This record gives sequence, structure tokens and C-alpha cells, in this order.
Amino acid sequence: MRFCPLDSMAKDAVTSGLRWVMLDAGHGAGEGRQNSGAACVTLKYIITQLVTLAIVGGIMGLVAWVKIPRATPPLDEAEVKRRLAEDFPQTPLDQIWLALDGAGAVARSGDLALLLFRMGDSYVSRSMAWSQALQAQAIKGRFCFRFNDFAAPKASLALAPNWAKAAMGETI
Amino acid sequence: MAAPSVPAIDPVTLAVPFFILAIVLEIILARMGKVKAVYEAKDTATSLLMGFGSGIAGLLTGGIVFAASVWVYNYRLFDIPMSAAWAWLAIFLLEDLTYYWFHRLSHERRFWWAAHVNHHTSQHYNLATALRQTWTGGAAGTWALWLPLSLLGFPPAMIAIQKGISLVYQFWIHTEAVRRMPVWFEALFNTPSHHRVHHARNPRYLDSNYAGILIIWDRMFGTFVPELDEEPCRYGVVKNLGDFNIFRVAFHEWVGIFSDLLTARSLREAFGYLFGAPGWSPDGSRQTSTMLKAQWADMQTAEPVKTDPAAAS
Repeated sequence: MRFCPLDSMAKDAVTSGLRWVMLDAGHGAGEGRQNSGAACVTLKYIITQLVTLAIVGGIMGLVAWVKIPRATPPLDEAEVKRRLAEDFPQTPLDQIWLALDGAGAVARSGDLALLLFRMGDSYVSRSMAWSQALQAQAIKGRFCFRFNDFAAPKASLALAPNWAKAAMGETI
Repeated sequence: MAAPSVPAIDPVTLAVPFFILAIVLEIILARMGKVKAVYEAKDTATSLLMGFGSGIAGLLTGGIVFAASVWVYNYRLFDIPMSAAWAWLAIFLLEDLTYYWFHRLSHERRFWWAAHVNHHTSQHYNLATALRQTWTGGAAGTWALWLPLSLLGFPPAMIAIQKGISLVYQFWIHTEAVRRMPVWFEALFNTPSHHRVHHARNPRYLDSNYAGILIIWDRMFGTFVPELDEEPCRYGVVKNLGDFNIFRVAFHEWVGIFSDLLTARSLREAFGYLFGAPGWSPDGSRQTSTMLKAQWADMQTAEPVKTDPAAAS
């Protein structure tokens, strides 16, 4: 085991770390050349990032152009039940309200509302209190359900305008 | 003998053109119907931008990580030469073992899951998903798990190169285009099939196949689960994200931890929220993957579930 003065070792370590960050810019050069080398590497880094962003944009364009997402046919009750059973196993569903565009649904399970909504070509589910779900406000024909969840703050579903009234008339 | 502290090559940088070509090829072959691959525009954008951001985040912490590695190396127990073949074999095995435990920790303890979860947030499994990398891994400190290698005497440059090789290897296994590799390869190495299981959210598959390059660690430590044709993988996390916002992808679990800590009523609860299994709660009202798997196992015992591969999402 080697014992060196701690401050000297720490200084060496930090220097090595900085050289790593600077992509070894000033390796073996004098102070002035180190600064110039660092500037060069900074410019090289910026250019690399811009090129990377351009490539990212190119791939995004390619994906949008070739159109190879999953098929997303409108949901029916059986599909809603299947998907909710995956996320909420052993949770019986009392009633299902499908979104008019087939891109989601609300299901009641006792005091719980289970929501299924489309994201891209996939689906996301969340639950909330049934009483809270009934209070969802409609904006431009879509009901906005707000969750206390940073990972999925809201779901917007094109439900029938009278779905909540119909739901309140339901008996379990 | 002074061993190189700064790597002469960076495998990841060298592999970037291969990453790009492979993604483009997968997309084109999928479009032609030659291979199985699904790409959704916003999901792909999220993955690629997460990869871009990860590079910037890595730069911010890379210096500290490397400095720590060099500092520990100054106390090394042995002088391990970079020029020896045995040393490369040793670092290959030890780095891969370290990766296994890093990865396992990153799934089984919430603090580190918060840094790693973003990699699992896509509901797709394609080569672009491989680039959905962490922004907060450096801050979470899991890099410290590699410091014992420096203490043993592996030069920091050697460790950095091997970590890069491991990352490059793990790129190609993020695909549905390859169904199975030859039996001997599946037995030894991490493969697309094994890693699909790792990315699946089916209860049967949760918390499994943590390997980097060699799958033998999962077989040794009891976390290996094979992919079953009768149960196709459903990708993503147990509670999938509600949109494609990259900041939500990067930070949602950290926000969740912070919110939970605000409600903690004791140090025990705070500790549980921070370092318990993801899904841990004081009253058991949430579900950890162990609970989800137990629930699934109970259901199998009570009523075997019929799975329809064609109906899988």
C-alpha cells in the first residue's frame, strides 16, 4: 500500500478527473497551449453535440416517416377488461364507460375509478377515488382527470357528456 | 510503474456510428417487414433525447467519478499491468460482477431505482430504448461500487474502458429483432431474449436478469428467469408514465421520493421511503415487486391464467 500526503494525492486525482472531462485537452502542453487546447476541445464538444442533435432529429424524422407503431384499434369492453386486469389483478369491474374515440375508458370498481388512456401507441392506467372521478371537468368535449401523481398528472378522455350522470344512476 | 490514468480509447465514443447505423437498419428492416420492431415517434424521440441528456449529465459528474477512481488507485494493493492478457480477463469478470450488483441494487432499492428507472420507462423495446440512459446516475453515487477495482490495483483507465465495452455490448440486446441466440450463447451471455425479460413488467418477470455481459451471475445468484413464448413481455414499468416529457422521465421517481419524505412520520419511515424496495410503504398500501409476484403466484395457484400471445401489447 502506498502512503502519500493526502493533499497531494487529492490534487493529482482532481487533476486527472479534470483532464478526463477536458478529454485530455492539454496533455503534455504548456500552460498557454493548454488553454488553447481546452478552447479547441470545447468547440469540438459543442460541434459534436450539435451533430448528435442533428442525427437525433434525423432518426426522429425517419421514425415519423416510416410509420411502424403498434396498431391502436378503438378499445372495446373486452380489451379494456384485459388491459385493466393486467394492471389491477383481482379487481372486479362493475361498469365500463368507453371513450367516444376508443382511446380510453373509465371503469368503476366499488369506491375506485380505474382509468385507461392512450399514450402514443401504448396505454397507461391509473386509479382514483370514484367520487373524485365523477367531478372531472369537461373541456372542449374531453374530461380531464387529475391524479396526485407526478408520473402521470392527468388523463384526458373523450367520454360522453352525460357519462357522470349516467354513472351516478348506476347501482353496484 | 505509472499506469495510464486516462483511457486512450473510449469504446462508447467509437461505437456511436454503429449505434446510429444499427438503429436506422432496425427501423428500415422493420418497415420492410423483415424483422420484428416497433417504433413510435414520440417514444423514440424521448429515448434519443434522454441519451443526449445523459451524455451532458455524465460530463458534469464524470470528472468527480474519475478523480475518485484515481484517488483510490493511489492506495492500490497490487500493481496490475494493463498490458497483461490475464489482467483484461480479470477486469472483464470483476467489472461484469460489479455491474450485476450495481444493476440489482438499482432495481431493488428505491434511491438507486430513482436514478435507473428512466431506462425502463419506454413501453417499447428497440435499439433506441438502449439509449434511454440515466441523467442522475452520477449523483446517485453507484459509481462507488467500482472503486474496489481501483483499490485492487486495476488502473482507472482499464476500468473505464471495460465499463465502456460493457455498455456497448448491452446496446445490441435491446431488440425484438433477434429471437434467440444459439443455446451455448444463451447459457453464457446476456442476450436479447434474457434482456427482454429484464425490461418486462409482467409480474413473472419482475426483478430478474440483471446481467451486463455474462448471464452466469443471474444463474449463480438466483435471479435468472427465462423468456417464455407463452407469456410475451409487456414492456415498461409497473405504473407507466402518463406522457413523454423527458424531465418527467428523468426525475419522476425523485419527485415521488421527495413527496413521500414530506409525509414520513419517523426516521424508520423516511429510511424505508429512501432505501426500501420500490413500492414500499409503511402501511403496505402500495405494492413492491415481491408483493406483485406473490399475488401473481397466488392467482396462478387459484386459477391458471390463459395467456394469448397474439393479444399481447
